[in-house]
Amino acid sequence: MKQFKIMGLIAITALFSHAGAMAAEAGSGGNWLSVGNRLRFEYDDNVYEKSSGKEDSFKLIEELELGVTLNFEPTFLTLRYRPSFSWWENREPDDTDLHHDFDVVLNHRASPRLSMGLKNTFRYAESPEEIDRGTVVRENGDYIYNVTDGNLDYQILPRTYMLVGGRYTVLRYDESTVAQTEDYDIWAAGLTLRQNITDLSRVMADYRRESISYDGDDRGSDSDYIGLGLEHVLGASFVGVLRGGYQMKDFNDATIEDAEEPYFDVTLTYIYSPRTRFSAGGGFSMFESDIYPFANQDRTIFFASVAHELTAKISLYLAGSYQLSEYDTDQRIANDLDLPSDFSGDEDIMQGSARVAYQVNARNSLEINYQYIDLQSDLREDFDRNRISIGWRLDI
Amino acid sequence: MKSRNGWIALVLFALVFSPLAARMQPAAMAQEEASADQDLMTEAELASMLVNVLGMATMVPPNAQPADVYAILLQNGISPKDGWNPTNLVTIGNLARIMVQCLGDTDKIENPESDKSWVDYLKSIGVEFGTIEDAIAQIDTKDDVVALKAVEVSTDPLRKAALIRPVDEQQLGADLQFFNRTLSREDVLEPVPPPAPPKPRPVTPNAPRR
Repeated sequence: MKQFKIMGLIAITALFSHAGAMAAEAGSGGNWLSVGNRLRFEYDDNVYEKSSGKEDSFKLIEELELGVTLNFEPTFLTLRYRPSFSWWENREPDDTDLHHDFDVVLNHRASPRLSMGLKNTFRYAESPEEIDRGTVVRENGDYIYNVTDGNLDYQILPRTYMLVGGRYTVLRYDESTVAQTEDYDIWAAGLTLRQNITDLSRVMADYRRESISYDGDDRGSDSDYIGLGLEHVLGASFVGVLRGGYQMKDFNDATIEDAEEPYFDVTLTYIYSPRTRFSAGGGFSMFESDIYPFANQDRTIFFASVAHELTAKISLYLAGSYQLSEYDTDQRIANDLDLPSDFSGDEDIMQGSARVAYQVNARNSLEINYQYIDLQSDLREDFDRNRISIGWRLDI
Repeated sequence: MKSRNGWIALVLFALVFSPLAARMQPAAMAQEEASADQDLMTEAELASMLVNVLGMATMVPPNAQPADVYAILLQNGISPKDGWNPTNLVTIGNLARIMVQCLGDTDKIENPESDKSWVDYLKSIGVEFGTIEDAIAQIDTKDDVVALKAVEVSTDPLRKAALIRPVDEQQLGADLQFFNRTLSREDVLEPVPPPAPPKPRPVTPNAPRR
């Protein structure tokens, strides 16, 4: 199996490299195609995400990225395919992963008043069963994930716009024992009315309907969201978005009471100078649950990131996030597990990341990356994990 | 259910008949109508086209709002002289400025405050255009895009982040893997055993005392 993966990757590499070279030779006619390659050598200090008895490993990560951008104004098509291959020096029983990402974006401007868009996001990821010293510490988690988004934006009055959108999400695990409780389908649809109140500010009113269903034990729900939002753009230095409202969630499991809670999110982008750019945000809402047998979590997230050009060739990127997930014992579905009656609790997840990139020339750059994650949980094993890598990026 | 429908109706009514809506400026309205009816382009339309042409379309959230488009353009140093104003019509000076920014040659402009400097620079490198569409057709995709939004915090079901993200997804800023490990029924049934407590030190009852 491993040989097939490696041969497949080599074939894809050769194909993309050839296509990239052809595009480069074609001069301006080849601008529609971009090919990138990112190779990293990484050290991971906690492969199995354990609190004690950590196993470390070196890792080789190869990522290709093929981008196609076609301008048939007023129609635009963007494709992105990114396979990535990882080899672990010390991971049992499978020391390789091969992931595939494929994105398609189709935007069309039918008239100055009407535009429409279609976006599809496909992921296939391998997350093999993990065995540490003869014990299965995690089930096979290979999955296929696909999201299809469609929207229509129409200017109904000189300063009033209407956006109608729909989304279908599907998640399928390979391993049947995981799939029976984790596979889901999510349908969402909504309407936004957007009103320009000044040249730089817009107010929005939203209505959303979301339906989540699981294949097996039904942790699904139907939700209605109603809310208001505010967008503000200030010159060439600031963009801010604030949204908030009320979410009403009806659970499919009859033993769980309906829930009603407010939600909000805020995102800010601030350009301090042409060389220093900030982004930050936060949000709170009821959300799908990561943990069986819970049907819901209250999720709070904050993040901040900064990009700073130290010199013309050296850039520094920093990012950090904090997530609080709260699981309530009253929002567990009926199940036959022998769990304590008060089985519930919180999870705190902190992440940090840094990257320094040195642009050697127009096509080549070198980078040093560091990533940190810390999980504190009332429901599963705590862990922290550090990863540091050096890499080479090539853009054709 | 009745109260829910009432809320929805109230929000829609408030938006359409809001006093804020009454603040519409006649001049701006006329400008927007002109752009819609004639072959003119607003900065909002230009920004939307640029995101597509520069290859950033996969990096903005689905069902993107205007703020998402302006944010990613600003993060990549692409902006009209006074920032993005969706109702402004695109001028030659701002179009030249944006084309130079897309080329990555901003630091080569001698007098950035003067529109003429940007236009002259394009002429000096042999870039000429007759219409906005003609100019856009000459813009290449951008390889080194910065997308700072490390975590998608939106609560909107039409655009919120995937519950699952692949390992090591690049954020085009600093990598930040969104934590996504699920705890399935099988994992709950077979929890990882807690670490064993330290064993007591061996005792030898008949050890001779010193």
